[in-house]
Amino acid sequence: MPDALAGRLRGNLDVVGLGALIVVLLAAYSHYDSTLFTPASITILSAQFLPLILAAMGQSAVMLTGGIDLSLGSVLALAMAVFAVTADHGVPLAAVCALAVAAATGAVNGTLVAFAGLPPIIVTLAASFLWGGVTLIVLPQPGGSVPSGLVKAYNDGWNGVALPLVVVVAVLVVWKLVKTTRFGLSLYAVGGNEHGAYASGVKTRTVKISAYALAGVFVGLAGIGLAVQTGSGDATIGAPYTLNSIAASVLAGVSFFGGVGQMRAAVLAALVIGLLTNLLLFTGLSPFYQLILQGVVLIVAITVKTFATRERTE
Amino acid sequence: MMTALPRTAGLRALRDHRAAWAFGVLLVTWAAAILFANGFDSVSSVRYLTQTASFLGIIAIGQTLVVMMSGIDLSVSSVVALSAVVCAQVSAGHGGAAGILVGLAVSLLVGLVNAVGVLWLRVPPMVMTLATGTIVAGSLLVYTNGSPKSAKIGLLDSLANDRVAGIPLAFVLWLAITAVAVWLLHASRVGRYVFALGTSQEASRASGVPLGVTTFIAYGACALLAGVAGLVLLGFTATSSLTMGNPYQLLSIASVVLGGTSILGGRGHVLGTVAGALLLTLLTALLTAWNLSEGVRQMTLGLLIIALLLAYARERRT
Amino acid sequence: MALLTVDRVSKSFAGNRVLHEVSFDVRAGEVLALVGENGAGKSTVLSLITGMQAPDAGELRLDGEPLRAWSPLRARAAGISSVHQELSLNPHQTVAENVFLGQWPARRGLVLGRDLARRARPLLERVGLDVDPRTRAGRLSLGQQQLVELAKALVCAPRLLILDEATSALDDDQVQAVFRVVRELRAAGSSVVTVSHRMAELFAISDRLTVLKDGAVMATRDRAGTDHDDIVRLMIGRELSDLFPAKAAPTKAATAPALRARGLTVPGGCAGVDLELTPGRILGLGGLQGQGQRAVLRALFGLARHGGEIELAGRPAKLSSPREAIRARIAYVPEDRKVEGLHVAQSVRANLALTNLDTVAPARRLTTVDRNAEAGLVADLIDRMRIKAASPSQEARRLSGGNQQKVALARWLPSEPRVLLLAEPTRGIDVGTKREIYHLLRRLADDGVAVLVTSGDTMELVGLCDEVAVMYEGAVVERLAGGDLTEERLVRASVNPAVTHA
Repeated sequence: MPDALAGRLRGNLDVVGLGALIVVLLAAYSHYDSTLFTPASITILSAQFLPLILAAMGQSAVMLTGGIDLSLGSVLALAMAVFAVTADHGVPLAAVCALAVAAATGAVNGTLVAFAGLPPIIVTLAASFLWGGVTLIVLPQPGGSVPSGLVKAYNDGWNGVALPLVVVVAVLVVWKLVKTTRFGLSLYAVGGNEHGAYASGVKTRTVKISAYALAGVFVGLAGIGLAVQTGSGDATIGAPYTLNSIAASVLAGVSFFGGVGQMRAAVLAALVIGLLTNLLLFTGLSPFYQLILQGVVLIVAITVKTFATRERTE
Repeated sequence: MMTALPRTAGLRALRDHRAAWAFGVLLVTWAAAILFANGFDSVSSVRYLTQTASFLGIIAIGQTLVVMMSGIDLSVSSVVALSAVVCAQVSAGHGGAAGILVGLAVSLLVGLVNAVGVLWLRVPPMVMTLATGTIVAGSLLVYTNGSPKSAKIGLLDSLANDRVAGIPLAFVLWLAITAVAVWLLHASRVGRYVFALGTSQEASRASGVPLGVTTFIAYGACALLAGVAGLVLLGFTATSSLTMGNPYQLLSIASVVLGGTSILGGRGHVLGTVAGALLLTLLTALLTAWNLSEGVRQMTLGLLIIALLLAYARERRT
Repeated sequence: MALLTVDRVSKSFAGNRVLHEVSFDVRAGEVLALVGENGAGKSTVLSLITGMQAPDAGELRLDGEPLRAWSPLRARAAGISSVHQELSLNPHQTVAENVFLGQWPARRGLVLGRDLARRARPLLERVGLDVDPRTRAGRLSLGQQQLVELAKALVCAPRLLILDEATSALDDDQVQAVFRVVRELRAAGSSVVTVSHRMAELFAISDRLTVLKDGAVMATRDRAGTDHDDIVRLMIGRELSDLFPAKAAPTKAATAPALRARGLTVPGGCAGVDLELTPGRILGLGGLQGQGQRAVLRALFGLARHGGEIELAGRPAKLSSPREAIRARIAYVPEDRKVEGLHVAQSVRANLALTNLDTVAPARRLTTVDRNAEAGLVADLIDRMRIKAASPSQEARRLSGGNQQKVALARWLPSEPRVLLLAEPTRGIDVGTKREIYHLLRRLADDGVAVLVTSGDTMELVGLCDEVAVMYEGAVVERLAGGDLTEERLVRASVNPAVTHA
């Protein structure tokens, strides 16, 4: 069936394109850093990229329902702060607390969107203030107490295993399962045609709230990852993740109107952004250029995508 | 079939006049502030509020133009800093007038770039303006090497701090800008195009609405006004900083929406934005007066905005 | 034995009474047609049955049991499924995923794609749809998508199937497939409620017809005991004569075309189409659905990129944007009123003024809108077109379909177009308004406008047009005029172009 094959290729165009881009970036990267493919490098880099990867997955989950989360950075910082503050009482408990808080913020956002008829963009913009304030209350000054053993194992490898990499793979596997459940299909259905889904008996509100809560879990994990990577919490560190998670999702081909997009592509896109940022540092340019690069990459990527897919959409 | 219309018409009138709601909420809040908080009953406090609200208000007027055509401009925060920083830098070498002109020119340029991206590159407005905002922020870092200058420019100083007949000049400037915006949006041809675009892009195209001109005017005006606000802020504080625009990103959008304009476009009134900006400035001042910690203040403001949105800014379900 | 009883049901929206004590029943194993003009309340009745809305008064009974806390979910569970004109498909998911939308069969919590496709195949076959269940729904034609909707409605083996304009985008073969399904269901003891503007279809398939007018039931008739005229009389409350106006007198050969297209080509739409639009004449574009008619119109209005030559009044012209087309005094009334034809969320006034801002907000007033001139223009158009609106500030979406269409057409009149393009000008419009529109188009033609109409309604093309060009797979395969322009010739040319061509 050549049609099916072509369809499959087209469906995975984003993944294939991003994969090729990553190969190019890795080649350039190894030119500057010959130790790139050693376990130590891989561990360090995956620890560094994990927060953005998970944040991108969270943003994508929301975007699939046709929403957007501008409070993502604040929630990420909040989860980080909660984890750092409660880590004294045992890491598992702290992780559960952080994830619960993050999921709850997502559920609140989702409820406001689903029941109050407020557009996601304005809800989450206002929520970014709210959660930002809560974070400052939880952790007014950067600090907290993440056990140094954990920090070391996470950043340097645990018995030769790159923990962050394991987390990302595990989350991807979980998503793959979620996607094949009724909830997963509902998520895509609500994003693709909300009214139609409702008329067909899909509980659209529940689906939306769950999607925001699920995104909260992803973002919470990102916050925990960032806390473990840096060894502390910081209320002001979350902001860039909002833009970058949107950038990654859009790069990955997740549609603003919902219903279209793949998580694997979001992961790859987050990797591309991370690698680009690191490469920039290698070239010896001032880190000040980092922001400019991010903005330009975002515009160029979307433009290329728009014009590459124009034939299909018109 | 239209026998029972009065009630429908009444409801619709209320919804269409959410801008009036905004003024109502403002008056109630102001009255409450005078009754229950200290220091809100003096002429000087009114003066101070109108003066500080002007910075936000000028930006929010521009934001209204963009939101009305169902766009959004998240680059205003960076543009505020851009015009102030560039003006301070240029005026150090070439004098205040040159600084002001260059500051406004680069602001306008950002707006035109936004329009190009939205129009020709077909980047969604939110992403385009987030991206240009980031680029501008990065460029400012590079341009100033991380340490922007301060500048005392006579014209800006008096614009921000002087009064005519007891009324702050900044407020007068804001009202003048509002008057022009009211004409542009509610009485001119361009306004009709903006509302049409905000309601339906496809229908507008098939009706011969000039998408290009309208988009350039809206984004250009929005960035230009953010630039003006940046200059007034520079006059107010006599220093420029890279983060001076940050609060205005959320607050300008909140002003527009609390002023009764639909975030989805096509519905609302510029005057509502004036009430929205005054309301938010008042709330911020109240929270500051109560001596709350930064965190509690932010949280409360967020909660208040959400509560107000729930009260009267809901979108109709379709 | 009644399967479903609708008992003295009333419903109002925002003070607007839409249904008033409506009663009828649906018997087991019958096909009931609900007929009535737009705004008669058919859709509202259906939305009560499917649980999208709740009645204000009265009750619905299923098997004699009153329906309580009714919702789409419960309706489906009770064996009621529906197919609407407005598609409920998600274009980004596969056909199989859409067929089972909301009730995906899961194994240990997981929904397997292979499993879905396997289960979807027999359902697709039943509705006569030969597509791979793993195709994305958005890649199918409109008609195919409507059949997917039907397949979706069959998933739960419905006891009551509701067809709400379910055949509006179907060609004759596809309509026959739907009829087959309906007959199967009836034979199996299930019931069908159908709503359609295509009266012939209703007579072909229904057992009884219930006529609604202004939210009340006028009568319920057995099909055997009624006819077309009887039903129309009940629907509009009077006799309907002269639906179509008299045609133009045979042309004086000398009239120069207002627009001439040579080899008009739109990638993926139409190829090598030659057309001449002459002042005073109404040209129709016929054929099956989706044979490139839409592409021709969109190209001529500058909405679709195209190749080929276009001449306006004898001079070569480029139409690369709607603005250029409008400047050349071409007007376009698209088929999708709610998306392209109107700003439905804006007032009637704003809609009528938008295309006339050059006169209403002239440059000499610094483009400030002259409210008096605007009010005058709007009042004149509302009056001239007999648009029924509560006031000029009423939102266009609150108008009936027919009045929306009148607004979509009226807004071009002040600029006196030379060429008028209309796609499906009467789709979903009641018969009274249809008549008004036909007569208006003829008057415009008599005043020297060149009119081009596409329509899926054969009777309409034959009754209205002076000439019909039949399209097939993007090309014009036959031109019918004068005595050759009959429904039979037109249908034959549409479905079997090779034979008639030879």
